Amino acid sequence: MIRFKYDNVDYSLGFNRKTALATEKLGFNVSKAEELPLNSLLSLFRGSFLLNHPMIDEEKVYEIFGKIGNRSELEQALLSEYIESLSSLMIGENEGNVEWTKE
Amino acid sequence: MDEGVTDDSSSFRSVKEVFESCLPFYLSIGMSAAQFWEGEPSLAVAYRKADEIKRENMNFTAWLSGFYVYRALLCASPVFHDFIKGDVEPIPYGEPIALTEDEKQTKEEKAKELEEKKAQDDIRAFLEGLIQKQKQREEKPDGRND
Repeated sequence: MIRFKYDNVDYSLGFNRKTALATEKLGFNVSKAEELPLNSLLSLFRGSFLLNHPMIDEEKVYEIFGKIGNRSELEQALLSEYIESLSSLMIGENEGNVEWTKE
Repeated sequence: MDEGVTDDSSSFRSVKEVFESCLPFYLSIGMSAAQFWEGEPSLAVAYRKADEIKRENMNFTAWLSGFYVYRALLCASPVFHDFIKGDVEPIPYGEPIALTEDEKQTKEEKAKELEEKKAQDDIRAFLEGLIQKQKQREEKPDGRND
């Protein structure tokens, strides 16, 4: 969960599967996440508000986006939260039974 | 069965497709649609582990059932031999097998108690025998031991 305060309001950003789906509909494409063009990042940022702040104005979101710091770290944090909604459906690290070694 | 998703990026089209393909599996293992869509994403991991534990328990229950049937047949088998002469009794069915550490401990403790009781009974019988002999000696004042 990503938390910050803006204009004396506490914000918590994150995703569940429902909001991850809605974020995809906003235009975010996780398969092109490495590129992460600006409009894709904006969609991701907007989508992250849907979980806890669904009624927030779009203009407010853009205003916050324009002023938020550490944008590259924020990108990674948001992406990580988004991918968690997918990766949690995958068989995890300790659930597989094929052992491997590095040489 | 499609248990969760294994990495197959060649067939990945959209997040919607991934979620909708996984949904039936998670519904089948007890997750509600609301939990799937609106719950913590990590809940899916817990449900998978819970499903694994349930399967292990079911497997063990089936094995145990078979074991008891097998034991019952073995115990009853002497009665089914047509060529055995005389009265034949089935072998006693016995106690349930201990499944938990507590049950095992109770079983071991019971066995130990029985052993100790038997030992005490043996000692008591021996002492009573001695007392009886002593009494008999006292009743025969001439000291003869018959």
